[in-house]
Amino acid sequence: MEALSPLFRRVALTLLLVASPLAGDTPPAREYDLKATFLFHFTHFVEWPAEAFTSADAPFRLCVLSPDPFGGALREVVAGERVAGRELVVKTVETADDAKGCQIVFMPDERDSALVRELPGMREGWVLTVGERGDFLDRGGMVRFDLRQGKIRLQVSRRALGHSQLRMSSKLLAVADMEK
Amino acid sequence: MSRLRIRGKLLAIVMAATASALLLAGAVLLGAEWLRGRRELVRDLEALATIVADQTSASLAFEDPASAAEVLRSLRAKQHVAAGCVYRLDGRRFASYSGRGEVGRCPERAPQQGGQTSLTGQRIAGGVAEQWVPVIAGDHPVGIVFLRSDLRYLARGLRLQAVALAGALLLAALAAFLLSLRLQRIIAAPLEELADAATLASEGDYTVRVTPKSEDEIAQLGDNFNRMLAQIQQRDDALLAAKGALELRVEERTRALAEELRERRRAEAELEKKNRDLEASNRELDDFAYVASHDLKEPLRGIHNYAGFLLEDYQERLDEPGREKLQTLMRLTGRMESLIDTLLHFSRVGRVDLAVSDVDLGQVVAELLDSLRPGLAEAGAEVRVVTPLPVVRADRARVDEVFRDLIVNGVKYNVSANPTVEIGALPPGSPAGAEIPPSGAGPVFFVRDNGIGIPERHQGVIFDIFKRLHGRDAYGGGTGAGLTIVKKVVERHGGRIWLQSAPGEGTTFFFTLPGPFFTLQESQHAARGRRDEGA
Repeated sequence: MEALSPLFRRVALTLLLVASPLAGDTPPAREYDLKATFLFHFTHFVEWPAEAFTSADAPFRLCVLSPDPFGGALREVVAGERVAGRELVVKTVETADDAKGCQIVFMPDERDSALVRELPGMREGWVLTVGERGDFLDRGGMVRFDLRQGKIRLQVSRRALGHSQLRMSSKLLAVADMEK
Repeated sequence: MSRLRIRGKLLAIVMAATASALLLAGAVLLGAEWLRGRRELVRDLEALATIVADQTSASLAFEDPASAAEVLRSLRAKQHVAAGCVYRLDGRRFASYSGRGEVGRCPERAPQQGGQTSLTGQRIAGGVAEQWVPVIAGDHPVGIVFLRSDLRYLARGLRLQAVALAGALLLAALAAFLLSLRLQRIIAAPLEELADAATLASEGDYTVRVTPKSEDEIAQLGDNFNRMLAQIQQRDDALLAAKGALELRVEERTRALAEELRERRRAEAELEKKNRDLEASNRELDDFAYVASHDLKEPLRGIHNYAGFLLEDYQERLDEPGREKLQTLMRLTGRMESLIDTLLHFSRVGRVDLAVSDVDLGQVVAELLDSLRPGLAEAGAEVRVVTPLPVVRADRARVDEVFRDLIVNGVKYNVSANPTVEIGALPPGSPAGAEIPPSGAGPVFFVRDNGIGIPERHQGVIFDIFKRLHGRDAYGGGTGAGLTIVKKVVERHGGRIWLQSAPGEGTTFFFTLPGPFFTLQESQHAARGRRDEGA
């Protein structure tokens, strides 16, 4: 723990440089920077089964249904990162079918929450679905970013989590509000 | 007192040794305990920080300070943790848990190093231990957990141990005290016995002995003490015996001396009595001689006168033989009177007290020679004073008589063509004739003539009264009492008289008189002084 690798130091510095300008920015811009970071952090607190990937060396796909609200911020956050040895890539998709082979799918406010059910891998419970709309969890979504008093809270659907093959860390659950 | 002192010393030594050993052990124990406690505390702090970092990773990742604060709150269970905080990577505080006081407040910002946030570190100073570790999400540090321990908590724990140790120390001291009380008996008791014995011995009781109970040095000391006492006792006895013998001898000697002294006193008293008797009888004799001669003189005068009357008044009737017989009678009575006068004079010398004063002999002799000059000139004699004469303490008239008789005798019994008499004084201590007077007795006076001398066989009777060595009318006649009176005068002054003589060569009379013995010069000086006083 004392001997941090040079890589860690570099990453920490990068985060610092990225985070600092955000502090003074307007809420929407800062909001999606934070959300991008949160999306990246999900890879640290959630475990996917090996079957969730098409092959042993397939990359970890973080998919965003268009329209992409991050404006490149998400790509900056995950640039060069790996998840459990796999390359982490960000992919913007138009339709549910395009999201095939994605481990995380983010559904922006503009898209209908009902689309969740059509996502590939949902039946197997291999996909972590993250959304913003108020009915997202009711429609079968797993995690929702809830914006309250300028702060982003996580809402997790116990039901969706129960159907899923994913293992969510208790630490993550501790910072989230559990819904039905 | 001495008893208390040795016991007290032993006790003090045992207690001091025990107390110092216990204190030292206690100090080392507490010191070791402190170090051990601190090491454990720091290790505990590190583990806690790691746990908190793990538990707060999601809070940092998903911006939830409340859950982080909740994790930190659980640190309350650890009493030594005074403060705990979570910082973002940029150093801003994310969540905190605060204990009491200044120590319980976290720094505003995370520890810095080289201008940026230090991810990990440890600091022990100022009574606190601080530990900070990074919070990791996946592979990435997302924040820092900072914990601070109050080392006073350790001191609190140690205080309890110190109290326990103090209690143990007290108990140990008590045990040492009781033990030393018992042990004292082994050392102090024999010493006390020895000391008591020594006290008794110093008071003179040499029969006292100590009874050694062991084989150690004190017992050895006791043995030697006993031996020493035995020797002292022996010597004391010998000394006492010797002292007794000596006392006996001294007593005997004292008795003998007292006896001797008594004897001597008796003898002295006897002698004194005899002296007194002798003096009285001498006095009586003198008185008798005086009275007898005085009373004899009167009828003798009558006889002489009547014989004279017969010669004058009956001149015509007496024939020549008758006249001659009467003339012989008168001559005999004249001679008888002269004898009686001499006897009277002699007895007066013995009876009458001396009129003593300081007498300048030089002056006495000079005046005497003046009065004798006509007679001396007729005899063609010469008298010389050959040494200065001192002042003596004497009766002037009697001393005058002594010199007169001796000078007259020297000239009278002299057949030399130039009769010579020398008068002088010999310095004290010088030999005078056959005798050497004792030192300090003063000068010896002498009167020396070149007369006929006295044969040795007559020298013993020369001072007897009426003793004449020659025919009644030879050498001018005389009663034969001159030297007897001279001797009596000298002896009444406390002096002595003796002579040295050889027939045909002359005679020297020596005599002594009592002081003060000024020299001539001194006497002249003294005389001048007296004259000055008189003027």
